[in-house]
Parts: sequence; structure tokens; C-alpha cells
Amino acid sequence: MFKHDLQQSFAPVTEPIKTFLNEPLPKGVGWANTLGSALLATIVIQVVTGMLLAIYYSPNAEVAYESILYIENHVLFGRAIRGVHHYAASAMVILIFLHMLRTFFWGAYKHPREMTWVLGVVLFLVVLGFAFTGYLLPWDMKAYFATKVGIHVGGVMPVLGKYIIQLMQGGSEMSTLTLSRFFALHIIVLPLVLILIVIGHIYFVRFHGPTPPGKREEELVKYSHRFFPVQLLKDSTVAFLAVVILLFLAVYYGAPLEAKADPTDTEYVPRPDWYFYALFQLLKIFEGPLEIIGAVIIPGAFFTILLLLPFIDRNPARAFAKRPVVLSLGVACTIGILALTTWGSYSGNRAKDGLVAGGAVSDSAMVSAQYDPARGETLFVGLECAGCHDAASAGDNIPPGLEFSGNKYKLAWLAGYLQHPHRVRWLKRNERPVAKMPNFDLTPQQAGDMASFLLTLRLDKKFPEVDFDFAEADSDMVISGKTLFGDYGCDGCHTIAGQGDAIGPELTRVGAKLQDDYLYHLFKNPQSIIPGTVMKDARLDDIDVEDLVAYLRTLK
Amino acid sequence: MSNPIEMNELTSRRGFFKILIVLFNGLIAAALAVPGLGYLLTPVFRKDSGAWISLGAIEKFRANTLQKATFTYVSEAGYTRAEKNGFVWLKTSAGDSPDAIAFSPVCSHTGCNVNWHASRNAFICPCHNGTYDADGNVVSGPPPRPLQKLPVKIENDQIFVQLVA
Ligand code: FES
Repeated sequence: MFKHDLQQSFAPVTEPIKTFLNEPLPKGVGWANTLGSALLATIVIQVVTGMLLAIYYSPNAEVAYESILYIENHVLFGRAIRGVHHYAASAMVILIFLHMLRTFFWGAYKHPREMTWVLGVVLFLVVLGFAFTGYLLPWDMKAYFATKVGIHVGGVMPVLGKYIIQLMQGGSEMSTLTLSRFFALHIIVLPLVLILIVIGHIYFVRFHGPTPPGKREEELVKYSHRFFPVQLLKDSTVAFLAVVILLFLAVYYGAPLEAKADPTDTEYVPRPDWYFYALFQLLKIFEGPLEIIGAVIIPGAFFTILLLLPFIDRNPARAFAKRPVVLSLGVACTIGILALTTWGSYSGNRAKDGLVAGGAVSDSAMVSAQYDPARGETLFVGLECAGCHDAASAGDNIPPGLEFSGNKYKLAWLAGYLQHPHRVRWLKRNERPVAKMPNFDLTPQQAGDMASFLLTLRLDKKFPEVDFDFAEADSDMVISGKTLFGDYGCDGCHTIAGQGDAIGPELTRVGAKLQDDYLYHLFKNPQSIIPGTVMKDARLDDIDVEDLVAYLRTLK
Repeated sequence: MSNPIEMNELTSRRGFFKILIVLFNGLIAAALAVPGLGYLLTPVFRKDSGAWISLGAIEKFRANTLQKATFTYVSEAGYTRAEKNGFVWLKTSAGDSPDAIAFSPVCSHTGCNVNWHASRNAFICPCHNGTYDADGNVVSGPPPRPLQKLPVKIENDQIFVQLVA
């Protein structure tokens, strides 16, 4: 009796849910129609993780970066939650792109579903807005410099440009005011817009029903099965897989974080996240006075056409064969976007970008971020690094002793390595590594501190300063060194960029890792530097050694 | 559908799918809820360090008299550090082995700062007139508990107090 009463009381809630679950679906609706729900799932994930991040985050340029470090290192599951938020952003872009492609190729945007499409395109723009405002928030090098590029794009507009920049920055330069307005957009304005659009979009989808491929509107078999349970199960499966993948990425890789933004850096080459590569590449292609073409005209025209697509293409046919022009244009655009994205991902000098051997921070960012060897030493002791890296095991053994690491390594390489240690280290051919360097999940700051500490460990007696400044080496020396490398059969043991054998360590980026003087002493007397090494002492004269070092130091 | 066996099979298939749907969505919810809860509850599990704060030399204070001892300390909250001012009510006793007691000024009712009124020999709270005697015990008014006595130590004639035990 009571139960029955309650059923009636809650009918306003339960009845629409029933109707929702029992929605009749046309024949042909299936897996491909799950993209929209997967997108919805990622939106929910972003809302939840975003709220959590906002609890500890501070939108103030002074401490924003520190608050991120705090989330990463001191808040329970902070790293995972920030990771999920980071990768789900990428997932949203991918899903929305696939969702649009599917809608486009199936002709699902056609009458009577014009408004569903328009709302979808606006949703895409809102998602890009989220991405753009979101990656300024950590206030690291990438945040600062990639956002500068983005703001610069706003300034390309004639006449208005200057004012647009001021508006975006909240002043004449990037500052806390920029950060707080981006934050407000990211967590208040855009979410409200997003939620309204999502509700509208879903309402329109439900009203007109989903579209299976190939059929004209009047040919649709309107009712073949219901949403519940088969389609809901398919939707749930895809959403579940998406969450599993995101969790894996978040826990295993974590969200990247570079050194704290340093506006005075002169070498950092900003790269946006991958989903902006296409736009980024357009900026690079059109330079100087033509910039406006890449920055405004092409993207503007693209999105305008995209928005108006259902009104431009009024052909009711949905079968591929009957829409040759529109489909070829669509294929061309898709290929264009993919090509620009790929091209964008390759352009720019990777070594310069700081992607040296797994490190994510450029050399100058390292130095200017002011690392503290004392803090590094505390870490070194705390993590018991000396337990494995003791002087007694130095030499050909793994792990290396570190008593002269200050004479051996370069700061940026060490810091990058400490952040992401290679999980398998070189030993000897056919031998399994006996020990692996664990990943201690150091932050860029910690890795830098530790690296700067390791550089204080020196044995200057063993490594007297070489009387030659290799930075002065001319191209003749480099060429001669390269020749010598082949003449002495170095490639019989060492690989450079895929060439040569793999008995000894790979040297593809050795110049980013080892100091010039260390290489010099190693060539002069391999046994004294690495006792027991199988490296041949070729009894080289000074000139040859200098040439070889001059060559190897260019490998970065 | 006329065949009852077929009907049965259909319902069990439906039932199985229903279980899977609940399972998948339940796992998604758990995957968000468990880390989310841990994240939210982090401060609950965090222990405050309770550093010793110096109040200065003992001879600065008049013995056997309750008085306000102010201090500046560095308060660390998450990723920020800030200098903050604070005070305790302090009574020192001179002698061969000097001693001191310190009361937190925080009223046990709803947390206003109490005042020492020497003329009435009582701590009186400005908010709802809670009254405590010189030992911090409640005399009248709404406070449910005595004033909190803070840990004090004296080293080299310097007085230190701990704000959180
Ligand atoms: S707060 Fe002190 S009496 Fe109420």
C-alpha cells in the first residue's frame, strides 16, 4: 500500500525515466551511436574531477604552480585526479571529433536535425575554449608560453587586435589577472554554457531520434528496438572502457608539469597540446602580413561552414553514393586536419623544446628555476639513493656510482632523467639488467633540486679541466670527428640514430647527456674512468680526441 | 513471443544485460567516488605538527600575574606560508625552577577570544558573557568546558608554547 503510494508520488520523476529508457530506436542504431554517450561520460568526469581540483587550486600567479605541486604530492589521489582531468580533456576532443565525423558521414545533420548539429558544433567550440583556458592554470612554462601564443592570435585582428589582447590578458601583460579571468571562464562561465548546450543537444537528439546510416528520413524504420537494455548496455560499455583507459593513463603517466613559468626565459619553444597542433601549424605556415589568414580567416571560415553545413547542404539523401561532392569535401577537410596536426607535431626542434632524453624542461628553464642543491641532498638521503649508487659498485656495473656525477652529466639531462627514469638500463649484450632505476615520481622542482645536488659531486683531480673549449669547435672538427667515429669502428658497438651495433650505450643524444670534458677523459683513458669496461683504448692523440668530442657533443 | 520458453529466455537476457549495465555504471561511479572521497578527506587525516612557539624571555613577564603574551609565528597551510599574530594568557612563577601556565584565549562556547579582568579575577567572554576563574574553570554562562591549557616548556629562560597539542 505504502509502496504503491510512493510510486505515485515519484511518478513525475520515474515516468520520464521510463520513457527515456524505453525510447524506440530505428533499425541500424548500434555501436557507432555510442560516441555521444561516451562524450557525455567524459563531461561528467570533467565536472567531478574539476570540482575536486578547484578545492585545492589557487588562481594566483604567485602560488598557482605551488598549489598544483601540492595537489600532485600531498593530496590523497591528487595525482590521479589531476591526471584524469588532463587526459579526459584529450578524450573529449577525440570523441567530439569522431562523433562529428560519424554524424557527418551518415548525413545525420540533415533535415530535421539541423539544430542538433548546430548545437554540436557550438559544443565543439566550447570544448576548445575549455582546453585553451585550462592549460594556463598550472602556470608552468608550457602554460605561460603556449597561452601567450594563443593570446597573440587574438591580436592578429586588424584594428581591434590590441584591445582583444588587453581584454584577454586583463591588462597590458600576462599576470594574475589573466589567470583569474581564465579560471573564471574555465570553472564558471564555460561549464554553465556547456551544460545548457548539452541539455539542448540531448533534447533535440531525443526529439528527432538517432539516425542510422544510409537511409533517407522517410525510409527510416522508425522502431526496431528500444534504448533499454541493449543500446544502454553498449553505451555503458564504451563509457566504462573510456574510464578504464583514462585511469590507466592518469595513474601510469600522470599529467605533465613543467618548471614554473619564467617570463624571462629566452629559449623555451612553446608547444600547445596536440589538439591545437593544426591551428598552431596554420600560424607557422602563414607568416608576417599573411598571418591573419592562418590565425583568423581559415579557422573562421572552417567553423562558419561547419555551423551552417545543414543549411548549405540541403540534399536529403544519406546514402554515400548520392552525396559525392559533400563527402569528398568532408574527406579532404578531415585529411587536412589530420595532416596539419601530424605536421604540427613534428615541427619545432624537439631537443630545443626540452624533450631531451625524456626530460621535459629546457636547460635555461632549469637554471632559472633556481634549484636548490641542499633540498636535493635531503631528497637524495631521504630516498636512500646511495643504497644502490655507491662508489664501490662504480664502473661497468649498474647502477653507476655518482661520486663524480658533477664531472659527467649535464643538468637538464639529469633532471629530465630523474623525473622519468628509463625503466630498463643498458647493461651488456644478452644480459638482463640486474637493477632498474625506480620512478620516484619526482616533480620537476624535486628532480631539478636533485640534479643540482648531483652536480656538486665532483672529482676534479680525476677530471682536470681540458685545455680546449669545445663550444668553439668548428664544423671541420665535427666532420672529422664523424669520420673518425667510423674509422675507429665505434659504430661496431654504439648506435647513433639507428645506425651501428648495440653492444655499448646508444649515443644518439649523448651530447645532451654527457659533459664535453668527461667524453675527452673517457677517450683518453677508458679504463681509468670506467674500470673493467670493454671499451677499447684506441690510444688516440689529442687532436683525434678533440674531433671526436666535437662531433659527439652535437648529438642532442 | 507466443512460446513461453522464448519469452523466458528473453527476460533472462534482459536481466543479464540489466546486471551488466548496473555493474559498469557502478564501477564508473566507484572509480570517481573512491579517489574523490580520499581527495576530499585528506585534511582529516593530516596531523598538525604542533611546533613550539617562542614567547620570549621569562623575565619579560611579571611573575604570578595573568597577562597577555603575544607572538608572531609562521603558519603553514598547504602550499602557503604566512606570518600570523597570536596570543595566549600566560602566568609565570619565579623561583629556582621557574614555571608557567598558558591558556588558550579561545572560549569553549563558540570560539570568541576571552579577556582577563584582573579586577574581577575572572576571564570574561565578550560574546555571551561566559565567565571562567583564574584556573580556567567555568564559573557562569554558556561555556561547556574550561579554557584549554596549552603545553608550555622553559628552555634557557625562554618560554615556549604549543598551539596544537
Ligand atoms: S563564545 Fe564565549 S560565551 Fe559564547
